Amino acid sequence: MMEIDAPDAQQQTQIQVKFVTRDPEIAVAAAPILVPTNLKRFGLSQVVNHLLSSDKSIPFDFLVDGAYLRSTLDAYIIQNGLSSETTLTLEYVRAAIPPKFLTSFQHDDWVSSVAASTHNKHNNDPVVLSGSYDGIARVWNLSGQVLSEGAGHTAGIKSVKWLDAESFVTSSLDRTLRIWRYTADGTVAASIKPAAEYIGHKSTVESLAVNQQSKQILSASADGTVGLWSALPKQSPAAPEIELPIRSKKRKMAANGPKVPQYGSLAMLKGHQGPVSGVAFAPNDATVGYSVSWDNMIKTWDLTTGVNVTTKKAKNPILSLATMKELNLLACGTSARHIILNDPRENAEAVSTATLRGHTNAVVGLSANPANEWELASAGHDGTVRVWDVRASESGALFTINREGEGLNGNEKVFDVEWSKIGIVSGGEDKRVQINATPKAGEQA
Amino acid sequence: MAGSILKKRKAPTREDVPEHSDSEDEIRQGLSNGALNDDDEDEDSEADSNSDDEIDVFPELGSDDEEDDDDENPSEDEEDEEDEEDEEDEEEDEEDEEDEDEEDEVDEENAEVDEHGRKTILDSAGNLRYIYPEVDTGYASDDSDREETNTVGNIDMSLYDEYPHVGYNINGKKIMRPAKGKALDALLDTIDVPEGWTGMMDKSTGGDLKLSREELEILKKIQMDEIPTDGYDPYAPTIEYFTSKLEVMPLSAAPEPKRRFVPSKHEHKRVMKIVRAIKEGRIVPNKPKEPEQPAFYDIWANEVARPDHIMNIPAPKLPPPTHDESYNPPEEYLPTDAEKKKWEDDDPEDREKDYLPRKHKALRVVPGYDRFINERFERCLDLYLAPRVRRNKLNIDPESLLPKLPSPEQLRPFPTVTATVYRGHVGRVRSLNVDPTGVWLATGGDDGTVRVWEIISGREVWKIKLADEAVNSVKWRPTQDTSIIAAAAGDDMYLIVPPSIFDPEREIESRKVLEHGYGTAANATKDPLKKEPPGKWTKPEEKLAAEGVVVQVTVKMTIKHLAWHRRGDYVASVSPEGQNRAVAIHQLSRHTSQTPFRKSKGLIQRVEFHPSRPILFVATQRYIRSYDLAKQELIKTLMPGARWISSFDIHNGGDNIIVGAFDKRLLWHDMELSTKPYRTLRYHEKAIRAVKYHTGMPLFVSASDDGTIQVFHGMVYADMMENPLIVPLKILRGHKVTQSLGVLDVDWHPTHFQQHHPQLQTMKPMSQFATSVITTVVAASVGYYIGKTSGLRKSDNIHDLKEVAKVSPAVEDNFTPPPEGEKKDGKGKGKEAEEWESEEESDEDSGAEDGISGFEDLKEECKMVLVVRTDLGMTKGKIAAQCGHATLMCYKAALRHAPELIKRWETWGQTKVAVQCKGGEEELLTLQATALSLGVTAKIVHDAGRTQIASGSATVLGLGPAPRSVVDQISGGLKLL
Repeated sequence: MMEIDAPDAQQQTQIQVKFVTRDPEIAVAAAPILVPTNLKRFGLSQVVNHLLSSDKSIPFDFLVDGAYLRSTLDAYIIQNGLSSETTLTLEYVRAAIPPKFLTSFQHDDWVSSVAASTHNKHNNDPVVLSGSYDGIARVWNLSGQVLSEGAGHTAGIKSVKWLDAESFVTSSLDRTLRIWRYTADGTVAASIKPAAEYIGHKSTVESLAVNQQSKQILSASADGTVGLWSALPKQSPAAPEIELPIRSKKRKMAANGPKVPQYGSLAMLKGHQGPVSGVAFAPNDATVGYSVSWDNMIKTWDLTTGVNVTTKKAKNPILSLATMKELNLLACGTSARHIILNDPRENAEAVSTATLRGHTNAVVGLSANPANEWELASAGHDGTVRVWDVRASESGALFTINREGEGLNGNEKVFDVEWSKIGIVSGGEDKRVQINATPKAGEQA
Repeated sequence: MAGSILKKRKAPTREDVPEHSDSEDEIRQGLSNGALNDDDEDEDSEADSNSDDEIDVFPELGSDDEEDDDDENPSEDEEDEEDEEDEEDEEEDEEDEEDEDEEDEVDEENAEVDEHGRKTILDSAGNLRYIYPEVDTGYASDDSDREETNTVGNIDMSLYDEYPHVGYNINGKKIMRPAKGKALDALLDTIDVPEGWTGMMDKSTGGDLKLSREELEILKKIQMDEIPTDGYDPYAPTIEYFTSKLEVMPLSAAPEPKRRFVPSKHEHKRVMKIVRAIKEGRIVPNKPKEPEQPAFYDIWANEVARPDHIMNIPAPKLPPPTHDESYNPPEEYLPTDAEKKKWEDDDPEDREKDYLPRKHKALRVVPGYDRFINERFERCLDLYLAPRVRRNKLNIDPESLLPKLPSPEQLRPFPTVTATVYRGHVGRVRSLNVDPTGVWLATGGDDGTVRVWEIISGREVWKIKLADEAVNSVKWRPTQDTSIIAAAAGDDMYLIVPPSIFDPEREIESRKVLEHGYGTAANATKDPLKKEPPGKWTKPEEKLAAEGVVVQVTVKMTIKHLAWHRRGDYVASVSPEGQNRAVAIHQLSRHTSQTPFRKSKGLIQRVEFHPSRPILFVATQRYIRSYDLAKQELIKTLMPGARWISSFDIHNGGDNIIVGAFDKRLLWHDMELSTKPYRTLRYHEKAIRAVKYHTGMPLFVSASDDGTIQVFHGMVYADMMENPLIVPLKILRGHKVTQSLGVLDVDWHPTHFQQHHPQLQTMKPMSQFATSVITTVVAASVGYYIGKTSGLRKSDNIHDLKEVAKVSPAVEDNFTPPPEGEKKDGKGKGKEAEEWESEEESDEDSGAEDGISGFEDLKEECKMVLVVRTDLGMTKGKIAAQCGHATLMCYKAALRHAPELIKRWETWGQTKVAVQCKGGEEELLTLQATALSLGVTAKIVHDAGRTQIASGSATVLGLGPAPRSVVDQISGGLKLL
């Protein structure tokens, strides 16, 4: 008899729940209400929608204790050994919608970096910039057409970044940075011309960061230095004289492209013990830069003086860096296959405020969602791009984006990811730039 | 001679003494009385009863004692006579005594003196009584000064309590009790205490007992627990009679008297007496002792059946077999299945019964005892192993015996997963190496190419095809300022600066380093006297030069392995087939090559430089030798015990080496500890191809043909006393095994990817890979060894000699004499001994006192026995010295009397056995006598007594040399010293 009664009793079991949110648009009264414990996400979402009494039903996701609620409330209570008398605080957020594969652009060689731009003077068609190991930077439109190609680097390109709508910067295995002028006249044809070459690093320039206000560029090099450059040739010092090794004529010819003016760096910031893998400007302060390195260090630099302000040591080599503007956090991808969130402020003691685990190989690319301050995309050598919600650091990745295309074995590394308005753009060993659309929550509903 | 001795023996003992007083004196000086008396006793006892054949039991007889008796007696006799006289007097006077004293006196005075001068009075009974006058004895017999002594003797004085007198004097007069004063007088007396007053009464005089001053002194001393004798000084300085100090100016500088060195005639006589006794059979030496009776006895030994009685306890019997021991027990005695299972599960020790009841239909179907063989075998084992102690079963959890290893979790970081696969090589990847900056990886493979990869992304950034042959070894120059790859393909070693990968400055610097030596190389080759150098330094052909090859060094044989010196000026190449040119050391700055070893020690597999000292490690198939390059000598030979070493690596600290072998073993050598491996790890299923230490972290890896890489934690502590800690961490899989080849090479990244990123390099499918994790190589300070290479060769030869020298002692060992223990085995006492005895009888006629026999017909081994007296407490050194004396004395004696024996003894290795004798000098003499009776040389050493023992003490008896069977008859019963 008891066994039969039990389900009924369970159905009737209710628990006090307080719904909170950080989004004032969808806030509801904070008073706790009783809900049946057998509700799952969908049921709770209905409850909240009912409370909101809006016409359009918004799908919500519910966060409890830093993780998404993926089971019934009952199961959650039992799993965590909570009393049914307690009041659960559920934070609800707009449910993220899985990224949808949009398109991918086939390259001749590994794609080492990607950058998307929506600032187009003549039309609003977004374009995607990709840097490849063949040493050529390409600009694509979303139809998969190469608008223009910029060749000039003598070795593979490692990083590309848009400076503004008409110029971008690339860095390469050949230890140089280049600024290119991109001119689009609204037609399919566009042209890319090298504007300046920056010389100063002694090894591969792994990564770039640009500050569009100050027109400054930070570069991370495998020689352990962080370079600070000005995108304005007028402000740049002259390039250092470099004695070139004697080469055969043939090689010389190959190396000589069109003449490009050469400039030097504003400053070379030394301090890292190993190759620097990532750099970033502070989102709100053009005079502060961050860098991460294989030597486990996260360094903060005062760019006006070139002084290393703080140094924090993580447990693992760090391979990528992204800033999260609103949260004022640094996301660092490590070789230990996880992402750590670091509070860069000097008085923050913990190196890692949260750890996002899920990748099965090194995390080499990171990008924050420009539309959602909590979300983050990461590119890993495990061949996946993963999307994270930093509020739910315990839940693992929200979504995992695999490489799309033929002839892949699933192990192709992804080298770079950028989350732009057009979606998640990633490029990798599969020689493709892949774009996954991420419709804003609620748009599709 | 014998006759005269006999005569003397029969003469009375006491007369004997003065006759040979000289020797007597000598002995008296050093020997105890007991020892001296013995010969006399012996003679007496022999004279009394010839049946007394016990040599070591001498009846007590003391001439001294007899004398003592004589001295004592006279005084006693006198006293006795006096006593008798007294008694007579007493009888006479008895009647008078009962009268009162006053009456007596009156009567005597009143009586008249008759003609006899006597007084006649009437006594109380009316009888006449004569009273004689006092006899005046005259002055001659005046004893008036004699103290009046009480003659009643030692009787109970209380008998006189009722009488006014307390006894009688010597004249029979009563000794009156002294008058006692009144109580007041007594009190006064006590106040004015006279000297010696004791307050006690002397019962024999009835007066106060007074003690003299001396007596009081004695009493006082007794009370103080002191020795009462006057003048005894307990702290008198020790007189060192046998002082250890050798006086420079001794009181007597007289030389040692000759008698100290001359064999004692007296002693000799005594010995010969025993010899004769033995020969006559009166004394049987080495008489077997009667077996000792056991301390307990068997009360049931002679048990006879007796009627049942409560006082009669019969012998216990084995209980009769019970039902369950029957071959066909009733059903209820058969065990249930549970019981059977329990019995089988229990340990044999825990079982209640050692059998399991079984039912058989008939006796004829009862099987044989199945444990018969086992039990027999165990019994034999028991006897063989002779365990007499019951072995306690260990009740220890086996887990607790395992060493406590930290869990791998605590030892992070270490590589756990594949991070990157480097694809591009065609065919096998033979070798790989991470550049010192940690950004680039160089690999070489069967396709004859050397490729450089970007480590993080796995991108091939540069490649060069060196030759059609496989590239066997690729090594970056281990310096931070240059980027030079040394690659070995075929017979050539190429020094390459990959173009355009590096900073131009760096590239120029690297080229400079390589090109610097071009002129010097030309000079060196011009010397016609020199032999052809092991390496030929040339400029590479145009095509290769354009691609970055700067120098090409050609040696005669295929190079299999390269090793850089830490400073980067030297690179060593190994061509295993090159015999004496297997190892060549190439110097970059001069473009010269040398072969440090003139002789090949075997198939050389690998060489490595010590990471900090000028030491070169060379691995042949079985051994790893380390050579000091500064001193040009072999330091150590490590013996890993592997059959074929494939690779080895030296720990950064330089004291530990890991060795990988084709026989699947990974061996950890702690060079401070031993030349044998500290630990052997057998985890791989197939041959180990490569081993590598991490330079910064306590990690090492081994790569094997089974396709796995095993990662270990290998902590080397700074504390020399602590052993390295080795913990297996992780098996990395991923490489395919093709043609039974697995992972061919492995390397650590110097800094990065410390945690989990072994960088597995792989190529195209169907090829093998080498794997890499990380490393820089090793080096030794090079400056020293240049120009000393020839010296190194020399040392090599020296080493050969040393090895030969090592062997020879072992050969000598074979000639060591057989152990002395054999002597006591008591063999050879049989027929040979009998024969020899009969011969000895005939020898008697020769009359030689020291009838030393030559033992010509006893062809057995000769030995000498040294019987050492242990009761003297001599030190080891003393004993050694005395034994030396004894040996020499015996040798000299035997040389004279039995040179043949000496020769035999010397041929047999001059066996000497030292045994101990606790019985003192007598036993020594007896043994000597026994030996002499057998015709064996026997010499007793008497010590001069300057140091430890009394002068003239007999210390050691030397016996022999004589055939061992004979010697054993004499000293066979003595314990080894």
